[in-house]
Amino acid sequence: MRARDQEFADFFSARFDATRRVAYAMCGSWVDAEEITQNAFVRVYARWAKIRLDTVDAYLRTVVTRVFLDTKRRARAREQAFADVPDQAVPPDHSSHDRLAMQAALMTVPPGQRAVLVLRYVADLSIDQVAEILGCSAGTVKSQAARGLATLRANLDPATTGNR
Amino acid sequence: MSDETQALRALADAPLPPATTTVEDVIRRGRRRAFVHRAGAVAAVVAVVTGIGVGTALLTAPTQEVETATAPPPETPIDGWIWVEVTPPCTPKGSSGRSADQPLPTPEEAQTLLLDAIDTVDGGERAYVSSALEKPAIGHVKVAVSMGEARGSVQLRVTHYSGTPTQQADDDASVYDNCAGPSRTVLADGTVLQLYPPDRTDSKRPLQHLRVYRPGGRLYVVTSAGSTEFRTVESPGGGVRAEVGSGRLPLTVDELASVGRELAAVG
Repeated sequence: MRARDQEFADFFSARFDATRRVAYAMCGSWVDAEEITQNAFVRVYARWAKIRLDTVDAYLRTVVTRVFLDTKRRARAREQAFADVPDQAVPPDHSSHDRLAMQAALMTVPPGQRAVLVLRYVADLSIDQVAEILGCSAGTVKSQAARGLATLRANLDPATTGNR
Repeated sequence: MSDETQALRALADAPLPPATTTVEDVIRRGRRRAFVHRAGAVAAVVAVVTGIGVGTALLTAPTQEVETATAPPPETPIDGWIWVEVTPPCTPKGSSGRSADQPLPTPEEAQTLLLDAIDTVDGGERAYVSSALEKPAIGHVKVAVSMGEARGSVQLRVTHYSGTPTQQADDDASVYDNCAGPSRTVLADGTVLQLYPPDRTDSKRPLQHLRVYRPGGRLYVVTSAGSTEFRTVESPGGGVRAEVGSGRLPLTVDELASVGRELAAVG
């Protein structure tokens, strides 16, 4: 493997799973999440020689978000509600019920607002970073996040957060 | 921090199912994508260059047409004359005809008219009568005089036309089936002199025509005719010698125009 490919392979190993989680939070399907993540890494590899290492994480998040939003636009007609049964076996844990309930509620949020919520809270990015990824202003990110949270709250099972 | 945002952050800790994607798959697809992008870029450059080339050719073509359309007319053989444009197919309109109430000169008068005009131009050194007068035809009279060293002749046909001199000259612009177009000048009294380019329709002799349109409706057609024929002539010292025509016209364009001016001055 060439040095360039080895460098990319190291980056892939370090970021693939975390990126897959973000993609899953956006789309609610592990199969789709893997496809989105794979497409994003393919695009990153195609431009690997031109990407600076200090900005590659931001570029990867931008690509993942755009691939997700593009996929939602193309497949809006065949979009389905979050599956009741996970499409791949996930190791059970004590909080899996809460996460599934949150994921189900997140899928009721419109894709644009959902992407803001995932980037802001799941990927733990700042408002400015989210604004840069989505190509909009910080104010737009704030308003989209507020609307998304309101929608999420309205559709969330009170037991999930324990205070409703 | 609200409970909703805390619950959202918990999604980042979700257990992962095993991935099926390998880095080798991603690299292979990435290379293909990069190749397609480069090929697309090359194709775009080729398309732009081709477009520029085609566009330049299309933009240049009309320019050439404009240049052709606005090209200056050919120079006239005599200074001060104007060139008359002829539109293909360059066929004569044939609108000239005799006016019945206007008399024609007799053949003798026409011959004298022509000799006098040529003598005025060249001092009487070349023109002479060498043959009997032709019988006058209906509608016009035609005479010819020989021109010494040039071995040619000058012919005069007198007839009439209807309309104005310029109008008739326009109608006759291509009367000799020549698309090159004649040159023209208009005298102070309204007479139009129209000089045609050399006429090559007769393979045995060169011809050149001048038409004089008088305001009163009389038309003089002067033809300068060269000769390439073999003939025998009497030598001044006695005896007979053979001569071959030079093939040159007996009158230059300036001399032919001067003959036309002399005819116009007579009436």
